[in-house]
Amino acid sequence: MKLYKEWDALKMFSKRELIIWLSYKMNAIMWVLDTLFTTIIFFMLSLVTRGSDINFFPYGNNYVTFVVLGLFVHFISFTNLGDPFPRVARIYWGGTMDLYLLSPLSYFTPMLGIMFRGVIDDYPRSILALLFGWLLFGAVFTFQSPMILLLLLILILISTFGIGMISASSFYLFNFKQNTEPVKFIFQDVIIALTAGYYYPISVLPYPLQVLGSFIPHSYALDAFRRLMIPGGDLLTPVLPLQIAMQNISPISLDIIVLVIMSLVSLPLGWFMYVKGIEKARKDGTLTRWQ
Amino acid sequence: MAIEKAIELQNIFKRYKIKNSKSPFVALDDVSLSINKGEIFGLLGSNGAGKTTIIKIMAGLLEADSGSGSVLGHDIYKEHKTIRSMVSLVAPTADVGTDNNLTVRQNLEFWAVVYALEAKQRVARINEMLDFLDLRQYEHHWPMSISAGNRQKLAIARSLLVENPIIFLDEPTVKLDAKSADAVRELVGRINREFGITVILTTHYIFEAEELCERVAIMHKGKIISCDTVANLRKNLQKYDELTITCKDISKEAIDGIKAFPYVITCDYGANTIRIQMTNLHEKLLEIIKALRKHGIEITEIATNQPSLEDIYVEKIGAGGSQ
Repeated sequence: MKLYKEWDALKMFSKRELIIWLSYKMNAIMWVLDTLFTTIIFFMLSLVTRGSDINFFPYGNNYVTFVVLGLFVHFISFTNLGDPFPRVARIYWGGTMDLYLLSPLSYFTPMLGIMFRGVIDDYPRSILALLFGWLLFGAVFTFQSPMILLLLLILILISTFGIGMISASSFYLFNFKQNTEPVKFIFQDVIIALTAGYYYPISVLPYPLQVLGSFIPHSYALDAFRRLMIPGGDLLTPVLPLQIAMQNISPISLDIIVLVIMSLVSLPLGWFMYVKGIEKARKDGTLTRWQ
Repeated sequence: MAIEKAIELQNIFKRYKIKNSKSPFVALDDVSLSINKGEIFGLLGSNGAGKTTIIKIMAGLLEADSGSGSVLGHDIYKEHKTIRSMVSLVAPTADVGTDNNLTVRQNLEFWAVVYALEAKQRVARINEMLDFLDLRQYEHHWPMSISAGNRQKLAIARSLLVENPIIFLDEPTVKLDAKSADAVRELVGRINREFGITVILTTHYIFEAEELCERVAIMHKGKIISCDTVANLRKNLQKYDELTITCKDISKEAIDGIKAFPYVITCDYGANTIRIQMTNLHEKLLEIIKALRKHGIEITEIATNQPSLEDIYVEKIGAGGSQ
């Protein structure tokens, strides 16, 4: 199908999700409050660390800024990585996969479109976390190299979405029909939860966990964001295991290179596995719940 | 002129794996079908007979294990994507594909874009469907606030947004009250007549198949055990037509005369009635009437009783499979 038709469909999915989201007015209030309280919790923690000799090197020494950047990456990546699987499950349990397949859309578009609910929920929260931190709790940001920041944002979105696609494909490809599945569990609930360093610098972790953290895009995106956006951030000193191993490349360049590689691997792999999953389900008769 | 075929399937097999079982469930067992363009074709069978499986294979949503076939000339294995773009489907429950957070019109707007209707056509087509299905008065209602019958109409409207030559209706009247079911049945006939769409309908309601379908395939345990027009199915059934004649002045000579006809199986009589079991009722009825009148019998009423599709269904699959 022509690309503009896919785009039209994506816009329509987004409109539908927005209508649904707006029809539950309490959502918006809860959602703002939730983000506010999350930021307050970390502001309180920052009070604990104030005056201590805790060192966030090379990410400056403002814990609130450090944490709200962690929340920013957490919110945008949570949707991209965690949402594709439940969205595919929703299409399956709702019985609509058959109907989407009867449309001329690509396999990809309905899943991407239905994900927009997560985008509405979580992307603005990432901005709100930055705003609350800045307006209420003393976070300070520098915006050196805005084009690099934009590139980093795009790369973390693509690479996490690629992993999300791999996770989603397991629904059909490996017949994981439960609430969760191993890819999402291993990445989101184990490696990322432990080693992404949303709330603490990963240098405090045991070395094996730091190495484990080398396999997720969050480590590199957070490293680069914090170096570039926290006043006093150091651009040259390597801290991540891969940066230490490849000191001939500057830390931020290495962060970008790794994110590009992760994006180039995860997205096509996720796409390939998703298509294979759908084709397998078409053979097995498991595209939708009703039979 | 040769009848154009919409769908042809030959020797289709489909098995589903069953968890914790070595032997698979045989959903389709050597099924062959031929459906003409423009007809209403019925797939009649009880739950688990294989109706939905065969529909999904014909719609390109499920791959057969073996056999061959084509839909509108496209191979079911190699061209399933093309087939999917040429068929519409209404699932057994109207809730599939209906978003209760959107109004009736918003639901149709959503699917019009998903089905890639040109922007200029969308509004006109949605309005046409709202009018055709008599849903205009509900266009700004939530689906949950309209009747089940109207929700089913909404599902049908969605499937008709694209002008596809084939529509599959999987048990379109299941879960509907009698009035709503009547309305949907009337609609199915109109879709076929007014748009020339080939309708393939699954049902386990025998009267529905009899009322709507030009031809019916009776399915049982994954097999098609009979496929023909309702009239031919009746004709081939080894069950006799029954004729009940109310009359005066019945004589034994007259009854013997009737019994002498080769197509009469039994002939019993009482004070004012004669009951005849016979074959070829329509062709031979006049002959019987003439014979009775020849013996001075005055006929006041004639009642015929032909086997229904239900009789055929029960005969074909046995009482255990009847609904």
